[in-house]
Amino acid sequence: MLKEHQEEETDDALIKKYIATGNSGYFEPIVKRYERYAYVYAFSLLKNEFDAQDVVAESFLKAFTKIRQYRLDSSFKNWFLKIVHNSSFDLLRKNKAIVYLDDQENGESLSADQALSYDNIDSLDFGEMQKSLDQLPHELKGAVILRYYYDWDYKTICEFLNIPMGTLSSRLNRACKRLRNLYEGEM
Amino acid sequence: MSELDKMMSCLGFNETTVKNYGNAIPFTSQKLEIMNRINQASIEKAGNSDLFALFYIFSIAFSVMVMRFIVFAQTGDSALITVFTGIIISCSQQLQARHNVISFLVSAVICVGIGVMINHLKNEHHFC
Repeated sequence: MLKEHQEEETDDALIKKYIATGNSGYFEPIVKRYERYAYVYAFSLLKNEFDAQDVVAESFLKAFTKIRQYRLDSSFKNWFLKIVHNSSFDLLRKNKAIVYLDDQENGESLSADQALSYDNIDSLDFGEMQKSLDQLPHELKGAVILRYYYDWDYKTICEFLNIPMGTLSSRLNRACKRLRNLYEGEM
Repeated sequence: MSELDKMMSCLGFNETTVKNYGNAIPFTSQKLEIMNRINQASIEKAGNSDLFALFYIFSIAFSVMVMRFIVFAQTGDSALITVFTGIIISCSQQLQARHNVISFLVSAVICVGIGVMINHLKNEHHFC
């Protein structure tokens, strides 16, 4: 009964109760709510099921131990996803697997007309999507997932990645260019 | 920015496709393991809090002991401490004059310490 009641409560209500009582059981519904949510992001960046699981578990532990740093009445899931983002990038840096943005591509972003000419790509299956994402540097990959999987608006993405709107626009432009080059190579 | 969405959509990255990709990612829940680790961390955290409390208790006990020593020294209730104090006093008459000042300072330190401790622990339910 108590468990069912807990599952209906908001994130902030559960966190407040945890802070007041020190009972870690209040964290269980939060883990249930956001485990898969965070896993999709970690998997998209890391491309590895086990690494993604580790990062999500570590992130929950970090969130739990640093919960007093969370500002109540802000969004817990965004705060938690930021922890997952940082942990994923830490792991990529540690494994030296991170693909950085190539600044030389700055002046060669794709024009809208060029991209819009690819109206024949209706949908991509899992493998094709994975292959396409693999072509993108990790910062772009993250931005694409945040925009199209989580359906975040551009302002939220800019705040999350701590970049100005112009930079995000430039990054997505470059993502388009890379994808076009990929498709052209396959033709 | 809507132009960008259109461009990405034309390249196959529309909302439906990315959502389908996200939903198709193989996923096995690790909820139990995560909760075990959180519970373990919680126990360790509680242990640290207890040590912290013990530190406070010992500090207070030590302060009270010092206080009693000064009070006994002034009233002469404890023969042993009086003898000990007497030896010190016989060594320095100035020290005797300063005992009152030291006593006052120690009392002030204890009062401030207790005030800080009450303020620190007032929201810690496990001390209630």
